Amino acid sequence: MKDEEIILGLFFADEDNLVFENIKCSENFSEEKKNELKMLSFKFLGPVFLTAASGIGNNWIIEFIESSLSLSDTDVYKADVIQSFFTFNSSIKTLDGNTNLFSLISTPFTEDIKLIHDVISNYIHPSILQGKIVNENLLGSRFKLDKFIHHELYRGIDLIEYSLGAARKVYWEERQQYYCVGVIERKNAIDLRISNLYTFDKYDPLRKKYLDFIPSFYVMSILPDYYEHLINETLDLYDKRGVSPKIRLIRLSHENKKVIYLEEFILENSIFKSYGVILVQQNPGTEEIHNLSYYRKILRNILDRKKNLRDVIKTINPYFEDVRWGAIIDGELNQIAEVLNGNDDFEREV
Amino acid sequence: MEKSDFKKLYKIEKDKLLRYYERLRNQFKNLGPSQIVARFLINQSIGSNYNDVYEILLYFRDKIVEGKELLNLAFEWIRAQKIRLEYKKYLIRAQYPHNNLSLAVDDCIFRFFLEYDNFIRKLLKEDIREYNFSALYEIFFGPYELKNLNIKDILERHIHNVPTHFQGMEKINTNIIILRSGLSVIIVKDYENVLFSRSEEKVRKELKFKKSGFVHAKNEERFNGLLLDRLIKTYCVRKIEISHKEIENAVSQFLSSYFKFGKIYNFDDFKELLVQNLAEDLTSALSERLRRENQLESVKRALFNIMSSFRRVNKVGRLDGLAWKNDLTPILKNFMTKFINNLVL
Repeated sequence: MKDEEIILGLFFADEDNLVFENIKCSENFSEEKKNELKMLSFKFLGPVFLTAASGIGNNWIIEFIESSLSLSDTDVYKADVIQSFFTFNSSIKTLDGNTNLFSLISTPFTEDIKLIHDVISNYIHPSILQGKIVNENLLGSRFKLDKFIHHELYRGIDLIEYSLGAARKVYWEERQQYYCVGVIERKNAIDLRISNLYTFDKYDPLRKKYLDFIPSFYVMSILPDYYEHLINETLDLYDKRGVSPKIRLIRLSHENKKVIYLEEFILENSIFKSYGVILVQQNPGTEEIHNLSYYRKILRNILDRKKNLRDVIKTINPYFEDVRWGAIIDGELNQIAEVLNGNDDFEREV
Repeated sequence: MEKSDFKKLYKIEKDKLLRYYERLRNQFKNLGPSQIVARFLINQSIGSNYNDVYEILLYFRDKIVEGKELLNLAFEWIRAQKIRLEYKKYLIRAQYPHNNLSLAVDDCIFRFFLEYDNFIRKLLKEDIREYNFSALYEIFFGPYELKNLNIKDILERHIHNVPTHFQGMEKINTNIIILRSGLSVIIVKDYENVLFSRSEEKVRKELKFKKSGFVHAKNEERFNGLLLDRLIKTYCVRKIEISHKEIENAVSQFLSSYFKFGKIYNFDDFKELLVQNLAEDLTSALSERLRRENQLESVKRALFNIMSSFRRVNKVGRLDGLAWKNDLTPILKNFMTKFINNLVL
């Protein structure tokens, strides 16, 4: 694969959140552009650190983000061929803290995502941590951490690049059931940016119950919009024309808890309209549960039949109220943080 | 990959092997278990020689986890050969950019040995030093033809490579570094051998190409009457009538072996060659007796006359290969028909 055809980056954040990166790019890129590329590591890792270090809730890991790519220009011939855009984050706990290896991948093929996931989390990330321990011991003061990690990231980039281009395979996995705790409605166009959250009533005990199963309503509200714009920015940096990224899936985890954000979109009058569901994995005592395809189907149905979300919100979860929580402006987000993420105040009011 | 998947992927015929082991045990009742297992492995073409294998088994005997025995280690040594075979098959096809050796090491370890490491570690005691694993990988996955399997030499090579690290009483997992330490040299050597074979193959192909190019050029220099030869031989041996169509095809093939479509030929440049080659092909196909009656020079003379008559009628001296073929086919067909009819069998 030619360097110009792919976007491939590895960002490593050590226990002290020191970030090292290796991003493949064309030699023709200007210095300014190369510097902008370096900033991608901080931008992509930002929410990972946010959930880890903000003190809001538990230390959640953003494991996987997948974006679908649709042709945005009418001139199909001029559009770059990109079929995959996804990121993996491998997080390993050490005695000194968490380390994250974040990968950014975009290629013209439908990739075998599991293979790449295994390469990153079973080989590249452990080899960085193990190599550090061994080399520190063998070389003592002669050990140069910076040089070592960059060398390992180079090896990692080479290995991922060599694994790219394999067709996507369907792997057997146990069917999981999920419960929906929120719906996000988003509208995006050149001069339009709307994002609203629908969830339980602020006084509903279910809101408090499921707060333990997600990072927070605040974090969940900002993630899709944040990453979608970041992916757009990345494609712009690489001069990829004619394709629009739309968030398809975000997977988060904390210990044995798993959260999935699943989104579907439609293009209407040059406006990208998306609906996404925040799903928590089945737990003892969970209410009505369904598999992922059920939720995907229901979202598609709302979009294709142009239904008003407020009219059908109760079909997704009968306990949801039709109150809309804005999730773009700081003031609105603060409201979500104060009201929906709070544990006790509203109970007292009740 | 689950343990059972791994066993399925690199399956060994355990029942059959077990039966053979039992037979050996009954046969050599005076030998100890390590000696029998060593003999068992040697008879499965594992290892360089009996003494080396026996010494290796003695070394690892007390490192095997409780509930398992040397025979289990022997089975895994046999399974390792299956893995090596698959790994070699993969490596032969691998195209690492710029022949990147680090990539070859990483890719092969990830695809073939990482799961095996998880698997084999369940067979050995948890507290054993890590160099034992890298030494074991060198033993298990080294080239088949490896002569030196002396356990002391192998351990000497690995003992200082990767120290065993502990966090309190717990051993820190450094399995990937151990795999690199044990297998890097083997993978690099194997891949270099693959590259060497490829370069040899390339040279061989180039030589072949040059040779075939040479033959081709030679072919172009002469008319080649393969069908004429066969046709006359058939006529001489089976004495059957040859149809006009067969003669025409043979003449056409004879002319096509020299003339190429789109290439311009001068009559004077090929006339003598055509006469010489056709006369040679015809006379060489004749039986001994007929050759005495139709000597080369006389056939050449007859052909020369025909070609001269043709030249007198056709004034154009430069034509495309296909045009020459079309013009000459009826003339030579006529000559051939007369030539065959005049043969007295």
